[in-house]
Amino acid sequence: MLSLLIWLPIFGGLYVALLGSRVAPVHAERDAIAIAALTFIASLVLWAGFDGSRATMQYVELLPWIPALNVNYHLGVDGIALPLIVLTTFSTLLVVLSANASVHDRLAEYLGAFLVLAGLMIGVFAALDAILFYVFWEAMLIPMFLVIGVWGGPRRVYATIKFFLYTFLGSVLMLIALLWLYFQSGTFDILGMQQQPLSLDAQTLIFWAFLAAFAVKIPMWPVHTWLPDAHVEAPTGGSVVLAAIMLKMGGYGFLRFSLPITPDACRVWAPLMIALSLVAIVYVGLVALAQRDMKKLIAYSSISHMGFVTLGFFVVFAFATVPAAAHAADLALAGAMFQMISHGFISAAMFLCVGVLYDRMHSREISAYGGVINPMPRFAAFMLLFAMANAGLPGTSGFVGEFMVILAAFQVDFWIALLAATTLILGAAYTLWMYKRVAFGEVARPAVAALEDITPREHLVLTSLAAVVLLFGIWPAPIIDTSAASLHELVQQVARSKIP
Amino acid sequence: MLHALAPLLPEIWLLTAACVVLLAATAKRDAASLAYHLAIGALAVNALLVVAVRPTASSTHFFGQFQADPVAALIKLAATLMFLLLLSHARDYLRVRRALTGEYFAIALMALLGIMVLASAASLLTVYLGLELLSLSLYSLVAMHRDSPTAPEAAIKYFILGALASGMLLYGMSIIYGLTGTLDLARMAEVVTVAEGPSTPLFVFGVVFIVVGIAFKLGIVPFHMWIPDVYHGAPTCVTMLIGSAPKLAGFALGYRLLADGLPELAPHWAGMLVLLGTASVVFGNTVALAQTSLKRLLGYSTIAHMGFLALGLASATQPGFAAALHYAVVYGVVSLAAFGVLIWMGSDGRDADDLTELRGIATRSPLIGALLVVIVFSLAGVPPFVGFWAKWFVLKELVAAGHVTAAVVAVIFSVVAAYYYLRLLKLAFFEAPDSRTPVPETGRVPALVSLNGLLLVLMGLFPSALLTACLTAVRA
Repeated sequence: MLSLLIWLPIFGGLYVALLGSRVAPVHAERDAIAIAALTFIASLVLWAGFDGSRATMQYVELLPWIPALNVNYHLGVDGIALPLIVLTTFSTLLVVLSANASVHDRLAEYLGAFLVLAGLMIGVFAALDAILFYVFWEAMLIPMFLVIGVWGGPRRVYATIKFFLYTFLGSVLMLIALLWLYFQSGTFDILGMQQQPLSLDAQTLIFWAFLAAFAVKIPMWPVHTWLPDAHVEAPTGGSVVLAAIMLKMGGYGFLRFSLPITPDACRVWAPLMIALSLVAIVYVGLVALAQRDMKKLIAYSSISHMGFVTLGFFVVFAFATVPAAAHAADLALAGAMFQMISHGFISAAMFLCVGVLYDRMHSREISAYGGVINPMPRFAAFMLLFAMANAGLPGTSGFVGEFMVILAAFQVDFWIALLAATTLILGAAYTLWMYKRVAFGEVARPAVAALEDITPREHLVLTSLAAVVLLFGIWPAPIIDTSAASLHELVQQVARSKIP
Repeated sequence: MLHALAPLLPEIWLLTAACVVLLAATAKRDAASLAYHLAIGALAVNALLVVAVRPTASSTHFFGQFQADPVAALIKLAATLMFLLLLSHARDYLRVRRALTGEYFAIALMALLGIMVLASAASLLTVYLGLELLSLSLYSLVAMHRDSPTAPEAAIKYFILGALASGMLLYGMSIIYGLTGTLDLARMAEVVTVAEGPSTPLFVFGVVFIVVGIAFKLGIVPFHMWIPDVYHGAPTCVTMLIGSAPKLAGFALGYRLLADGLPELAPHWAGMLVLLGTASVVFGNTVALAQTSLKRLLGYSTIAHMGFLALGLASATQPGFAAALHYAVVYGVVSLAAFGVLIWMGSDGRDADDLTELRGIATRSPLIGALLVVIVFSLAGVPPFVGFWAKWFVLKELVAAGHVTAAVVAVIFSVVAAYYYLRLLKLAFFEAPDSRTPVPETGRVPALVSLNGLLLVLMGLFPSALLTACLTAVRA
């Protein structure tokens, strides 16, 4: 089942890209939509058959890959990976659906690249063998590199090479850490590595090597600088996938590697990590306020929101060892996890909204707009909803995760919670101020007056996103219940010291 | 008698074939095509012979001069298959340039014979014999383009520096011989165990010169100076030859002398190789950043790659040697594909050399574009392509041997390398082409390069076969 989810989009994508250039773009697009939809349905089937009450790996597949060197093709999902896989298939479907408006040149290859990318990303979430994980993790850079470089904006070459090198540098250090772990534990099995006792010194080195990979990916301040460049230059679909899924891989890496493999080092460095998260939330939030480019603004807002995710991960260490506060630890992790999923929907929606405007006006400058609500009332309504969700309005999914993390942070320290809570003000300020400048006011420019409202397909895409944002805002239980058991297991795991 | 000669059958066959090809080439004018077909046939038979007489365990023949073991068999088979591709490319390359001569194929077969003798060497004499046979063949191949402004210079440079390195190697060998009193590598390994003690400094002195010789043949820092000039100056089909199968010979040289002959001195030579290997990775990748010529860029990238190979040897463990062997095979296959693309792009008779000639090539030929993605990411060591497994295996054994710092430096400079590799893709994909004329996608060269690229993908997705083969060969 998991293999199907990984290989269907990869082979489908190669098929679309290779044969697509020989047929009309419409046909290539039809094939791509069919493949993306099938993948999405398959992931829903996966979710339906998943038993959320167990913390163990499910749908496990284990085949020898390089038996001589102990490398296996080992797949499986738990409550942490599964929601991210569904998020991946859902976002890919949306990207494929909305591609034809923004890309006119080599559409088939564009769609193919995204399908391949989707398969590789699912592979990252499903891999249980460290080397298999690494192969997917790196391979994923290739289609993204090409997508940004071929279909991106004017500074695309700079942005895509920066993106590649930053993430590559982080990853290779992780590879060394994984190899070193192999010689300690004798296995490349991630779950086996999690059981390996390690001295604090060893844990510290591994922690920093992992951090190099995951902090760049998520990204944390101060290694975030590739993200605004990549986001701004990427085509709409690239921005959506980057924001909705690729950033989550950093978060997933923390949950799967850093926390369980090096819990003691995490505890030692938790104050620093919390501090960096707060810097991301507050300082990067302020940076977002000063942006003139809509995509850049959303990119900085993403960094700020991911600050909540890392904050949630590391406040856990403040009370994981205190049995009485175990509930708060669960809350923090559940909040961070929910924030990852919710940010996936909201950031995708925001980038798609900017994409809708960009396709019509070919400008991302906030000042190029004004009064968009007049020619495009339906679009403006959708964008308002997503802007509110981005600002964390109760009733939307953006509120739930942030609220849970702040609640947990309160039990650690009042000041941490207070600083984190400033996001509710900052987020509202930069998002709504941008919305005000874009949508409200007099129609100052003739180009804006001539704008046409959203097409039926854009309508479909934005409606489905609006539906999930509201659904999970009002009823977050499906996601929280799916991951609760796995996250609880993780909390117990990090509470035990691994120092021999 | 025949039974005793059986393990040498491939070498005997190849020597005979090379002589026949040489005779055929000189027998009449325009015999180049005949020589080519004979050479290809000889290689195919050679591959079958190597498989037919492949040993499962090590055995020594010919009065202790020649050993047949799985490592040698693997090297011979890989080298023979590479030569099949090499000669086929060379024929097209030379024909377009009206430089097709039969001697080329005869000398190439001699070079292969040198690799095979070296791979099976069991004594210092056979090591040197194989090495010189290979080297002299390569010098003359580089010089074959008499009218080219760069080739003779490259050949002279290669020859002088190569002779110097051979001298160093011989000097080291003579010191070791003087201390141990034997030319036989297996016997030497036993004697060195006993001789540890007061004479150790002398042994180390000898080892230094042997390592220098190996380092020169591999082309690692600081004995790399010949690589960029020779790569640049030689005709592309010869650069391709130098850049692929002889790396296996470089591995064999190190493996036979150090692992077979001087295992007890491993702490000494391993330390030297770690240093030289790391320096190569650092230097090769840094200098490659500044290159504007494709062949020089690939030359500096070779220096870095051979640094990785040396790091594999430096692990001084059986899996470490297996990793180095695997690296040599993989690098050969990848560089065949890379130079194959150069030959393809030069199929109009002009040598494609400047980086800017890649500009927009993916638009002019989507197939070259796709192949470049595979090749470039293989060279850069990004999964799922095969170059990743080669680097991974070396790093794994390096970490196992405790050289974590060297591993970290090596991976960091792999990131530096990624920059100039990505620049190739940037030129090919992200820039507009200078001319709109499509590059031909049919014919033998495109077919062979595509096959080669497909092999890279398959070896990347199913790395087990080659990795296991290398491991079992070294362990046998």
